[in-house]
Amino acid sequence: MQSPRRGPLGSLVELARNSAAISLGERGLVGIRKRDPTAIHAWTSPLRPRSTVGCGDAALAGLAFAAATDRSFEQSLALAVALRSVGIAWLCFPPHCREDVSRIEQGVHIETVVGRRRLLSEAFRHQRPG
Amino acid sequence: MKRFDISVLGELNSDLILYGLPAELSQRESTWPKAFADPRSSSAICAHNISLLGSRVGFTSCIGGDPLGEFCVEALVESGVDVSGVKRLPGKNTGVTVILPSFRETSDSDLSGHDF
Repeated sequence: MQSPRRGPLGSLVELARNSAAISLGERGLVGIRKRDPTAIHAWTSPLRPRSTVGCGDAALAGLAFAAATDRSFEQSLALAVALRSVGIAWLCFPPHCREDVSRIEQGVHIETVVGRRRLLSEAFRHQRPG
Repeated sequence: MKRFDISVLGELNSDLILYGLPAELSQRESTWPKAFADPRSSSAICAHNISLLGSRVGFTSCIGGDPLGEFCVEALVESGVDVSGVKRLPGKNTGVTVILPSFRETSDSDLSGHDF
């Protein structure tokens, strides 16, 4: 098992106050907290995107909203994944899609990943341009 | 003094997304039927989403003294975002971000919000 203070996401989380998250593309998000040897993988059913433009901004909105409303780390990731999924269809989701966000959020899978080396390796390979 | 749940500080400009571009661009004038203009940039998308989730959001930015800037501000107002922190700079132009999605990101079977 990779130490939380080693590896690329481990280095990233050291720059953060509490936690860090990185996209796995269509496979969702992976998040890690400081001083926690495990990672949290949150994902929903894969979607075939028209475009992923703005999805990162949507996910960030979910994390910010969750932080402001004292949600758990797992709930934060679930909301971020849900917003990102809706963001695939809408660059900015319209008010009538609020229920869609809640519905997708309820269906987000949350998994604690103990041996996270391969998962993080895939995450950073996904981030690499090209 | 106004109080917000979340304050967003960032750029405010229009996104021009050109879907469906060919691999090689012509040097001549062309029309792209899949082009899409949105008045929200990254930080504005973030503010929009947070506001629609129910938080009180304040937005701080600068725009030019042109209609495009007002277009961007009006979109945030419609989202319920407080834009009192947005400054207009007369004589300056509001920016435009041109996004060229790669072929891997486009699909003939477009997914829309109605698919949810």
